[in-house]
Amino acid sequence: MTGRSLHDTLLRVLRDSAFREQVLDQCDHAAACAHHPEWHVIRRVSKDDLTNMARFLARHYYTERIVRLFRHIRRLSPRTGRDPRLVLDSPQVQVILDHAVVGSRQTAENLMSCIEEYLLENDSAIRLQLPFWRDLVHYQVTMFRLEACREDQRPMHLPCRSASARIAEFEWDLPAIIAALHSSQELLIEDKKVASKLLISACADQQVITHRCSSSVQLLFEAADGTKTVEQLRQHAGLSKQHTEEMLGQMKAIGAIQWKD
Amino acid sequence: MTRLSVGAFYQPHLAESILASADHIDHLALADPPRHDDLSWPNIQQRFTLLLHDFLGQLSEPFTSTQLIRARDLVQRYRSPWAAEHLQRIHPTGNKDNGRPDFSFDYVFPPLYTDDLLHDYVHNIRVLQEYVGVPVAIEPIPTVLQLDVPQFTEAEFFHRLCDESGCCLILDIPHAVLSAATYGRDVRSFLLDLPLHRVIEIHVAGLAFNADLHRPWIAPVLPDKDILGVTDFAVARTPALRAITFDAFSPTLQAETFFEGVRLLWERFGCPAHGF
Repeated sequence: MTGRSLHDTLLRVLRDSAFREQVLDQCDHAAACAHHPEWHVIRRVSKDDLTNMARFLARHYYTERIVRLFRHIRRLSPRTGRDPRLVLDSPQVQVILDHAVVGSRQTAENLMSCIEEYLLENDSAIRLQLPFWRDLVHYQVTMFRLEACREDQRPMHLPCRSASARIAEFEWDLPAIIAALHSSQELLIEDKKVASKLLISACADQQVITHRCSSSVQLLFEAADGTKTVEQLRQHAGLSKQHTEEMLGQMKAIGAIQWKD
Repeated sequence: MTRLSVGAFYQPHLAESILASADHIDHLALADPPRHDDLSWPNIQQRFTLLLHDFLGQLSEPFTSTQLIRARDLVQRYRSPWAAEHLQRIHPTGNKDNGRPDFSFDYVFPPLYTDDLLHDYVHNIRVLQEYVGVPVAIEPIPTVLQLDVPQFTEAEFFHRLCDESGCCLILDIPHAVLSAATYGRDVRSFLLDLPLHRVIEIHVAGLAFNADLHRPWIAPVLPDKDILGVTDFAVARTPALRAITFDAFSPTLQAETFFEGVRLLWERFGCPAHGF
């Protein structure tokens, strides 16, 4: 056992509630401790202290993501009375945090259910004031979910759409609405009831990126299932070779496509 | 006479107010690069000394070339006199296939103070220091969980780290208060054991009760008189000290807290001449 191996195990114990239970509750078994001397050391730490620190780290992890990925909704909270950050203080979320695997898709999904319910429940008054409200919630919830899928990214030999990317359709022109919200100018929405289609993807550097999705991008993205060559994709989309390669390269750069070219 | 630079962490949402109060702020520490839509950034960059305090990489692991290039770019962009990094370990060793860890926390967490990790930290700090061309300043992180294995004391570890890597230290007063409490020690005697002669910057903020940890913890609030008293004690014993920073960083930080924190430090430690 080294300091590194022990600290690696400690971090895993703090991240993953199921692993924590395994280490703390099964280490009576002599064989388990013989194979994992780190477990034996960690078992001597108070279970409450480990659980409290794990919850603290999980709460911070998801607070940071809510602040970053729900920033447009939070900006509107003085008008809506709904700040998704407050959901983390609820008893329901306390249970989720205590059973979390920090960064996992499942924990993100459990949290999203609570946040969506909080934002959408009895929201008719908000929608009268901000008719694009549900689109905005859908947009930010999608960003949160996709970020939790980044762990699934694997370099592929043929272009393959990433689990952390999705094309989402909206009734409103969300990029225009978000730009208007950000500019602090009076939000004039009459001209923004125009359907928009966005390619949303989480890339490796922790950013979630959104692009307007053209029909060519959609054709390529949906056809890229890891079984088609660039030439087959080019034929499918009816594009030039250069255009196809450029678009696939751009989609790869933002994490929408996995591809070891 | 000690010529201390007084400053705070840059808070983009307070940028206009910070610029309006520039006469009483010498430096700004940057925990994140400026956002592309930060319209105040050009003026901030021109007006203040900037201290790089971004996440450059986990110092127990080898740097990638991308991380090193980014660190050097940030040093040059900010013209930072040093590059700060936490003595933390927030993700496990990367997997064998691609070198990447399978997860990472995003909140500071201390390493174990063992010989093997000391060796790795020393090596990687040297690499970083050589590449960026300015001193690397390392900030200790408070210990909460104590594991019953042979380790250096925190003070022994930092003496060795400074001696063997050539790094400087950032002393965060609330961090020291929390670590001392964990070890059951008086904070002043805990401080005296640290290599205070290597401290070039001190961070000051407040503590507040944390419901998860069931104890006081770092919070974006003003320092109380106890924290300020410990700060006085430390400032008097850090001969290489050049800067003192109000370390409250939060997207929800109120302007009043920010400016009151800077004012408290300015009144106590500021002098008309800037420290840089």
